[in-house]
Amino acid sequence: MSTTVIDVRNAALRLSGKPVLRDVSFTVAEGEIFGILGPNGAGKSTTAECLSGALVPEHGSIRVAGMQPHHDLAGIRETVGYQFQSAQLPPALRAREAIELFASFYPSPRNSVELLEAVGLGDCAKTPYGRMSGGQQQRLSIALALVGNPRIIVLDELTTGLDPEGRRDVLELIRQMRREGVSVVLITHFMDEAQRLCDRVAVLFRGTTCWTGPPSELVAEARGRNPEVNDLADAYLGLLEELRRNQ
Amino acid sequence: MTTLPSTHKPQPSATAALLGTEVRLFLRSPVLLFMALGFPAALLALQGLLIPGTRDPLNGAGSMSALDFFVPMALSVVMASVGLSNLPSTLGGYRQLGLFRRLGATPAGAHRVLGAQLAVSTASLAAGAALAAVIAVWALGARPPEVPLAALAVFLLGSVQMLALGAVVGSRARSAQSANGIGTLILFASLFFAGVWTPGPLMPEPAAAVAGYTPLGAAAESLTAAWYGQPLDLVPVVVMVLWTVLFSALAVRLFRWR
Repeated sequence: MSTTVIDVRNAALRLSGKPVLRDVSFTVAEGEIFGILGPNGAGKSTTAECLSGALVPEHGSIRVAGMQPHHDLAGIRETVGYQFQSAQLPPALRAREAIELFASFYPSPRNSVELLEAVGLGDCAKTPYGRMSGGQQQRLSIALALVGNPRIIVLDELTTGLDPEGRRDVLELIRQMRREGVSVVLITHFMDEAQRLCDRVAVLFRGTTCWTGPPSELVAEARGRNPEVNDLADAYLGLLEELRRNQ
Repeated sequence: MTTLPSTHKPQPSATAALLGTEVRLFLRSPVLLFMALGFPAALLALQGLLIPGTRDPLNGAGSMSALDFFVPMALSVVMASVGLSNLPSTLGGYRQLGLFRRLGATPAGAHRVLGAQLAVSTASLAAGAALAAVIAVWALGARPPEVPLAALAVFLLGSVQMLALGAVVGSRARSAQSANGIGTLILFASLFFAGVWTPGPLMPEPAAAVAGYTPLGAAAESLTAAWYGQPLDLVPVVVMVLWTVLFSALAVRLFRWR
């Protein structure tokens, strides 16, 4: 039986007085690719920030690799690699300099030059961040999340802005991480990506976990109600419609 | 896409790497370089080389020139331009990029980049002041400080004070542009009270009455006294100490990582 590396139970959090997380619960097993799906404002990125210890739930509990993120920040930061939605680097910082800078933060980092090659940025080592394409910037942010050799990696809106080729390469990189035993939490709006990559997904809606399980199961359940459902995108949209009707 | 690389030990420490990165970013930014090194030097060169008669003694041979009076002003400009322009715009820019948030998720933590940025700002301020002093004394023939230690002490206090004020401006700014806008506004007001635009008796009476109580006005007044060997008035020094304590406390209280 695989070990649970992330255990979120009934997490609730208000930001500026507004409830952002109401009741979020899910577990992630070692070596699993776990998707977090949901419409804008569902609490996906807030959940990711709770996993990093940057935000602390007011209710419920979160354990990551056996640690409480906000109590053991140092341990969490060494264990978990993050790629945050919309976090950028100074435009004048070059790709290799960024990797080497982040490598200096960790006790056992990956080789910077080899990592640049691995994410397809071998030719851009001296390119300033501000002159990179959106896809190259995304790949660099993945490399920064990986450089510390993490056990768990949290990727927020990873493939947004990537061209099809860049997206394919990045998804292959995630599969490569899983083969190495890294657990991946993938926050995404792309249902095809979630269907192809994720072992299980959680659907968040208005700060609450509404559904958890393998994508194929969500599709099968939805098809039971509506035979026209073809894929995860159909099943997900159907679930959201149902949730909105029931609100 | 190849296989993920193996591990190896890092060479520099996180603090050294962040410091090196901040230095590189500073050297690659024409705006930061100009505000720290070019702006004060350009003001001095303008005074000394382009305005006729500024290097001539005002009251006969051996007396002070108009340029002599301007040297402490130029050093005050260095304090203000680094403290009110470079530091806040960098902090606002980092917040806008989400860099503090990103670094906060690494073992280094976000506080180290703040330390590295303060170190680089301090070093650039010292370099700008050294350059301005060298140009003034060796290239333009202005008088060196009469009491170097007192001038240095006042300069250090004034610099800490202006960096603390810059940290207040940068503590909440959501972008480099907003930090720069607010910082520039305070910078030009400060330069006015320091006497850069209307030196000595040319400053309007009401402004002159309050100038010594403003952060840069107090710094310029004390630095001028120390530079020319006049007795150091305690009031502007106390004013600087109080502003420094207030700005430091405010910067710590108001600072937001995101």
